[in-house]
Amino acid sequence: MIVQVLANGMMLSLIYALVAIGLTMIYGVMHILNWAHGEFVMFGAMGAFYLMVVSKLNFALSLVVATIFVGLLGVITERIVFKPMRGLHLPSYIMSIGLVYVLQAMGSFMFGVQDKMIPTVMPGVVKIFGAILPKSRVMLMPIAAALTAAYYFFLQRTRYGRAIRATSMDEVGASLQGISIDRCAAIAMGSGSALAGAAGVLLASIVKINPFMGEALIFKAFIIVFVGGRMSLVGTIIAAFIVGYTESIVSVYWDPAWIPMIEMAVLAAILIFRPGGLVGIEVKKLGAARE
Amino acid sequence: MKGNELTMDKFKQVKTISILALIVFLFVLPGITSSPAVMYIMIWIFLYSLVCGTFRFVTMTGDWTFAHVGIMAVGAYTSMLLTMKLGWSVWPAMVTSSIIALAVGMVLYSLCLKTRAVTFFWVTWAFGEIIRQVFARFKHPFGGHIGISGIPGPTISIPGFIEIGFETQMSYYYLGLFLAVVIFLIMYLVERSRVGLTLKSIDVNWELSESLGVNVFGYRLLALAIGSFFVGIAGSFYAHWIHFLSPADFGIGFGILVLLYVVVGGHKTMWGPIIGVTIFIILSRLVLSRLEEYLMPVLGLILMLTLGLFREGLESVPRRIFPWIKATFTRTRKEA
Amino acid sequence: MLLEVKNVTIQYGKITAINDVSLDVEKGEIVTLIGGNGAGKTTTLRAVCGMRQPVTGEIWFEGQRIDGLPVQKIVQLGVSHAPEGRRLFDYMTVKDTLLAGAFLQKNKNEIQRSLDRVYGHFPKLKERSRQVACTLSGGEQQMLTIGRALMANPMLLLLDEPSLGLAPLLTQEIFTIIEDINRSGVTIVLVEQNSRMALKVAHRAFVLEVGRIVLTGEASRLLDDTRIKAAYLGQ
Repeated sequence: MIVQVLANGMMLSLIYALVAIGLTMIYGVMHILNWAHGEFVMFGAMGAFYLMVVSKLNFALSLVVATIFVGLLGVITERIVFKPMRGLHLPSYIMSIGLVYVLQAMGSFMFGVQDKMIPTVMPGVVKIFGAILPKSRVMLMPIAAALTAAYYFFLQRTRYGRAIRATSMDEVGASLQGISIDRCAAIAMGSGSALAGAAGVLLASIVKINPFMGEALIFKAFIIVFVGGRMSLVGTIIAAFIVGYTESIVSVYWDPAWIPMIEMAVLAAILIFRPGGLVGIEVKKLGAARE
Repeated sequence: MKGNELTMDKFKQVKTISILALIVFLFVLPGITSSPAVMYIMIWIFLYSLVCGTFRFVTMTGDWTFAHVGIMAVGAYTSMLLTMKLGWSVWPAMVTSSIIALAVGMVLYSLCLKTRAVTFFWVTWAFGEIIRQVFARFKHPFGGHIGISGIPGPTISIPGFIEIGFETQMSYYYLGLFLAVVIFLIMYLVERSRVGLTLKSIDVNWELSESLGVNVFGYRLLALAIGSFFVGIAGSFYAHWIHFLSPADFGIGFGILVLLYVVVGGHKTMWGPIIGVTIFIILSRLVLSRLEEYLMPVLGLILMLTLGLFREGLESVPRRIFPWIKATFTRTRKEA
Repeated sequence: MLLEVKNVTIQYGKITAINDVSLDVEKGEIVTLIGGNGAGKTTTLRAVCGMRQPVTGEIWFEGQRIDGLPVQKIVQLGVSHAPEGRRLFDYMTVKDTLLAGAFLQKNKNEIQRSLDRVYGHFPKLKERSRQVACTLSGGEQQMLTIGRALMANPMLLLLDEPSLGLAPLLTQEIFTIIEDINRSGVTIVLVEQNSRMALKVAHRAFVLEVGRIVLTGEASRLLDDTRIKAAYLGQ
């Protein structure tokens, strides 16, 4: 039983992490929470369905193609929707809300509103410490972990990774080093969305998907971003695990219906008492004007 | 310069006259057409205008509260409890539930006022959701997820004098119109007073206001209090009009719609929300009533287009057009 | 002539920050801009690096006109700015900050060379290379700001108030390093409140008052000038 909970918690946390770290980087560079991020997850999932069922590609290839496709979608969205609004916080927020509905409609139109399921990638189960876990769920975890690690590596060790981190901390300082905010916005949005798409593909392998799946997910992602501290990648990952494990423990040992309330209470508490998030980073430079 | 002043005054005259004309028109509208469909749409417009207008009122201090709809729910559910479980008449219930909505708002917002801007928005969202979850979790007495029905409508009954039952939509229409006009008038008077100026100064530069001796916390709370009280009234009205309440009515969907209407209509003046509400409700009820699935995406698209073209919302359109019209008129006069 | 500022006027809205300012910088020298608070010194630097666009006037760098170009382009051309207020990347380590400073350089060896050079000027930074920027002391942060600007391997380095908020001993250290940097071939434009130190290290100076250049000349001569002594050197 415990192993079940641990495994589910791990799986949930890793997927949440994938969705949330993209959002965190996008927020860091562009200073807006992209409400449509959940729809990118959805497009990844739908893309996987299309590629695997219609084009008959295998899972690995579908993962790669869908991820890249959603990444490009992210870049296009940044150029068309967010770039003209750069610097205007409220309009950008609202634009992203409008985008949610537009993308949902696109999704419904392209893929139909019915629930879908992709064929099981790895049928069968695995026995670990007395718990019986479906292979497809277990397989998810190293993939998600690898993607997260790869993103972390990208941000810490590569030239553009440093550039977008620098831009997220001080735009002016970054521009003085020759870093272009335009390009950073595109990269942040592209990479963040790509991760969301990948998360979507992984989700598609374990649950039923539909064009509206992004809605429930996005609010959890927002909670994770706030609890983790809007600037910190590590914080986001930790927060993702907290949320993921809380959910899995509460669902098994208590009553899943209480989860929304618990999450809201935690969010409120963090925002009031520790607005910089768990990792204790004071958002000291972000004055009210910047927010 | 003299010419300019004349046109400014004339503009104000035209404005006042048109507002009065509008109110008169709304008053006699049921005389022209008592079609329930029209009544229904108009009542929705009144209701949404109240919710969006009170929301916009609060934004004068720069606070965008996502708990607003939650407070409305408090007003609605309290009114329901008072009338259904305690047998109260609707009118005292409406007043009392608004006061309770005000109280809940005070407690909630006092906790939230440590934060500003984006953080404030999300922390109020969290609290709003908690309120809603409370209504959703407890079937007893709130009706839980499936909601509660059979909420009584209001009656005005002074035996021998007046006996007005609220059977037709027309009665609700006049009640809604009355509430809307009175509440908007009050908000307008507050906005124009010194209190209103102080509230707005907080949005412009709160540090400066504070250093000048303004009790920023107090004023923010005041704006939220006024907003909460009036949206509580709207909530109560909603409960007694629709006769049915469920937590889903006050969910994120509704909250987002309120936000959208205010942003698209504009939030610099109190007309913005009214414009946004009217356009969108007429659009959604009339034009798209047959194409349910396309409603939200089309709204989303219109939203994005409107924001793209009119950053300050639709209310800014007359302001923008006016100098152009003035120029055309002065030109014509010169030519003549 | 490395840098030429010709009759530049900059306005913030209706307020004129600098008015008809002209100055020139030869390759290899240290030129300092001194003057009181709000005289327009920082604005002048901002004009050169592209953070502000002049209303009138021209700015020429290495025979190319640079006013109106975006900041990133100007940096590419060889102008680096260590700004007032430092504008550091709070949560990045010293090393990462410096590497970010070398953004325009793609060659790993060149980057290492620049890094070694900066560590050479600022050994303290090397000691703290794994420390996060916001935990550094004021002096170290200032060093990091200058070091970061140097990572772009500039021909022209713009320094805005490097001694601001620093204790005298540290100020001395910074100015010694500034001289070192200049000796290694970097032309420097130095904006300073601390007029004495600035005039001691600089070759030439321009004095700004209320947005205009009121005096210019060799730094050593200005040190002895009675007007300067009275106004800025507390004599």
